[in-house]
Amino acid sequence: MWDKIFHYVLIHMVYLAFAVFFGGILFKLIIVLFSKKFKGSLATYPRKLPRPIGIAAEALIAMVLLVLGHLELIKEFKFIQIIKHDVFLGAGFVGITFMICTLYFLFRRFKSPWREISVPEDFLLLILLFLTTVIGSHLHIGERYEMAQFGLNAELYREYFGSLVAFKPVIPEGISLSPHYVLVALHIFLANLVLMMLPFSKMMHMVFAFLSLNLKRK
Amino acid sequence: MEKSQIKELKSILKSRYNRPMKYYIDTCTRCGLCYDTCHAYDGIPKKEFSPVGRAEVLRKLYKRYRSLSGMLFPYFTDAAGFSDKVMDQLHEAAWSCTGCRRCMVNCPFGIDTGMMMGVAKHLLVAYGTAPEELVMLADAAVEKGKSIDEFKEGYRGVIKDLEKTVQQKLNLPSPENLIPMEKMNADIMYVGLAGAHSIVNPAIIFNAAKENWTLSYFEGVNFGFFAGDPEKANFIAQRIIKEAVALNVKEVVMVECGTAFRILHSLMGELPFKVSSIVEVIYRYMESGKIKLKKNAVTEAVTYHDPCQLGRNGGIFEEPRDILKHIVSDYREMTPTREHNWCCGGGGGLGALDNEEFRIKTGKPKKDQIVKTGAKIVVSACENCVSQLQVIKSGYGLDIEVKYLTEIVCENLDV
Ligand code: HEM
Ligand code: SF4
Ligand code: SF4
Repeated sequence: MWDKIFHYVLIHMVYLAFAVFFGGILFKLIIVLFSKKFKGSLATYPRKLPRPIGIAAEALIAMVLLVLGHLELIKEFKFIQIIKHDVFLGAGFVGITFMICTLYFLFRRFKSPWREISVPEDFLLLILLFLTTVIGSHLHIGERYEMAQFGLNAELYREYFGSLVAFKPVIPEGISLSPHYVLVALHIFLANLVLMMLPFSKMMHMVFAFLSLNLKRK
Repeated sequence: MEKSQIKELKSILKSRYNRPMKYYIDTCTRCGLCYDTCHAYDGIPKKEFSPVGRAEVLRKLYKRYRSLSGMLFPYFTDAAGFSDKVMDQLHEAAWSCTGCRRCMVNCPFGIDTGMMMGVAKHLLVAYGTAPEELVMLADAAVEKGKSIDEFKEGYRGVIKDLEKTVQQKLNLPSPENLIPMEKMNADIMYVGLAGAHSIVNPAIIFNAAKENWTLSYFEGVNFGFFAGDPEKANFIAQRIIKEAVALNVKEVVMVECGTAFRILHSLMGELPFKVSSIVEVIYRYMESGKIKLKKNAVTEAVTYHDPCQLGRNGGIFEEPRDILKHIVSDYREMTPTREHNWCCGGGGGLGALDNEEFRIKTGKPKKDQIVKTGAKIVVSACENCVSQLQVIKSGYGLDIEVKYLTEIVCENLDV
């Protein structure tokens, strides 16, 4: 039974998650496009951007590296390899940075005033992000140091991701027969959840930030 | 709560869900950066008085009725439906917000909590707990707009008396036509308030500058906007727009009233005339030499309080400072200042309510700022600000004098 579930998570749910992710963002943008504009000006003066984005900038850099890193798991991209490095980019630091950021945001919410203004969604998102990152880092570090015959390497992931992208999905036996299969499945399951929640949660600030800030300058 | 009432409230939520509101409902990360940027929270540290705390009450309702995630997972999004309890929370949130938008400047996404509280006030109008004083004042303003001809005669009589004051101040031979009304094709139509000072001082300045101007029959202040009733707010603003269009004036100049200026300047869309504040006009006269102000005539320390709607929300920062720095020898700046200046706590219609104790407490950051400058005279250019500064002065027993900018200009006019 678990085999079936893992199979579903690694293949069907991934497609579903990406469909919900892109479809959801598109849906939100279309709703905005058809909404009533504000007839006046919402500007504040002087017309400039607000406080430095601060800690969010770190999360953002880590995020870009994270996306690039995952791209390289699909196949080798020459433009990413301009600066020579091992796959996965950042040699584990991306994961660590991300963990520190999510933990910082999480622990912050346990104390006042964040405690009072937080809603369950805030905790849920951070916990999901944290868990995804922890397991993702484990997958990476396990491979890097060949811990306890970890045996899951970039080549295997490339085979799997590549097949997903080509819409001929297969799960290589190197992954499915590995004792660490459950971690791979868990990482992908959590990531799917994050992707699906994204357009329908406060994470839409990734997209709306630029639009709402623009209102302030008009 | 009755079903029909909930239905009505839901339709208001829907009608106010415009583009900016869509961003504001979805985007807040509850990062807390705005938390302590509200003067009300600074005075009374209570969640409902923080910007995000206020906004969350409204956001809950939007989540419950207008968002997919809120409908499917009310627990996770903390969504809540209409109930008497929520409406009470909303009342507390909305009627302690002055719409100063200081929080907006401090939010990484530029979320306009003032606008969100405007929607909250609209809901409270339908729910029936909007402050009666404001509703009555708004109704009176609407009534005046509908039957202006009945008001005209009486108003002209009042203006005749004010013309004599202007005549004395400027040593002119006759009071005739010093405050013209219904003058076609004037360069400026000035919109005042009910108080005589809001007409006399500007009239002195216009006459000293030999301006081709006319006085509006209406007051600039918009109690419909304060009360949270968009229909009345629009009607009240349209009275002025219609009058200006009928007289074919080039420019409408607003009295020292932040909200009056902001509504016409920023919220009514394109208008066929220019909208300025009296502050900008005085600066123009001073720069072009149309009026002469005594240099360094005031030797006491003076500071300027930026009305939120003129400064942060209107971009008028330099003009009042340049005027004051000309008249005053010891000008002192508050810290923080300009767009980060603390709201005095008197805006958004709060100044018209019976809530003096609340306003003294929430005026605390303003009091601290004033005391720190050591100034003896505090100048501002907004009716609400000046009266709230008076409340702060008496509430904390400050040894200061509060003045309108037009007042200090008229006192130091070189005629
Ligand atoms: C690219 C994807 C992005 C991701 C994955 C992301 C993720 C996050 C996460 C997880 C949080 C923590 C929320 C919490 O405290 O519970 C956060 C907060 C925040 N994000 Fe983003 N974000 C992204 C893009 C952006 C962008 C484009 C901006 C700004 C223009 C931005 C600005 C912020 C700010 C200001 C905070 C609050 C920081 C604080 O609490 O001090 N984010 N973001
Ligand atoms: S600063 Fe903006 S995003 Fe952060 S809690 Fe306040 S309103 Fe929300
Ligand atoms: S607009 Fe002003 S009064 Fe209202 S929440 Fe923001 S800072 Fe506070």
